[in-house]
Amino acid sequence: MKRNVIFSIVILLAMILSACAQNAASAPTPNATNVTRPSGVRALAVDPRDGHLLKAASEGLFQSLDGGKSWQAMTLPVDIADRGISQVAIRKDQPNTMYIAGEQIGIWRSRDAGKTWEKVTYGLPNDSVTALALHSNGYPRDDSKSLFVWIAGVGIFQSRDEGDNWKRPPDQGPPNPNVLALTHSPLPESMNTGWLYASTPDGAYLSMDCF
Amino acid sequence: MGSLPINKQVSAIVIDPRDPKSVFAAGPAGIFHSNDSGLNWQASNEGLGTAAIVALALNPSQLDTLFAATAEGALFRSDDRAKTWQSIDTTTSP
Repeated sequence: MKRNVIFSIVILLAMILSACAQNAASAPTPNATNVTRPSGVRALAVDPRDGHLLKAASEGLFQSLDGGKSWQAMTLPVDIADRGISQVAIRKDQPNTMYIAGEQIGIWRSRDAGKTWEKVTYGLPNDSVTALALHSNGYPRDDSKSLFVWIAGVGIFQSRDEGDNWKRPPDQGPPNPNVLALTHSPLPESMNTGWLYASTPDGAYLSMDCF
Repeated sequence: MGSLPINKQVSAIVIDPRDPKSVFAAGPAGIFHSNDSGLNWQASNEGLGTAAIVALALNPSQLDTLFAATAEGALFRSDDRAKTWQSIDTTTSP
């Protein structure tokens, strides 16, 4: 497997360009070189046990127990409560374990379904986490303790121990470093356990390295 | 392989774990679905109108069900793998 190669293949989206032409006419075209990260809602997650929803937003972390009709703010540690949450994820195999992240807070883990939180950033160069992905935890083998973050201005980091320790893999990431989201894919033919998609202001990229 | 997309933001991607080649992508232009890892895409916007989607999630226990949200807090639900979407009336915001 070729290493070091920039996240580049692209799978995605040439077709989005053509397929969405009719919608694009009414949608703003973002400036790929000068991105303003949006306020408001940033990410959603679904609890696999009961379908309850979690919503990450600039105003905090919210939970809905009725399919999204109403939302309640979740209690967060005081030092992150008003600093913006841009990512949220729940482990499928251990739904009490969830993660939140943001550009000003780093990444935090809860093992009790959001009652208490601990910061898990050992090995990360700073707290500017713009994207978070849990391992897809499926074919070809489970690696459920793995997760990934993107650090603004630096690149991708991986933890293989539920966030306790972080290391920088060789992959340099996509050409556009304004990564808005990461998604792990268990697509076959990986020499590891899968691949990563990166969502960016100028499209989505599939990693050439395996993760 | 498709060619490099330019100036077309993608804000979130979801993979169907039953078939990892099945990929959903969301952004300012709505939601799109690919059955071949991204080689070909079809718009999956029925019911979304012109909503600019910033967040997308799959229910891990009901894999035909997806949720999509706008930055302003509008929420949409699909129970048919993003073919059609229904708006959810939210009583609180965000």
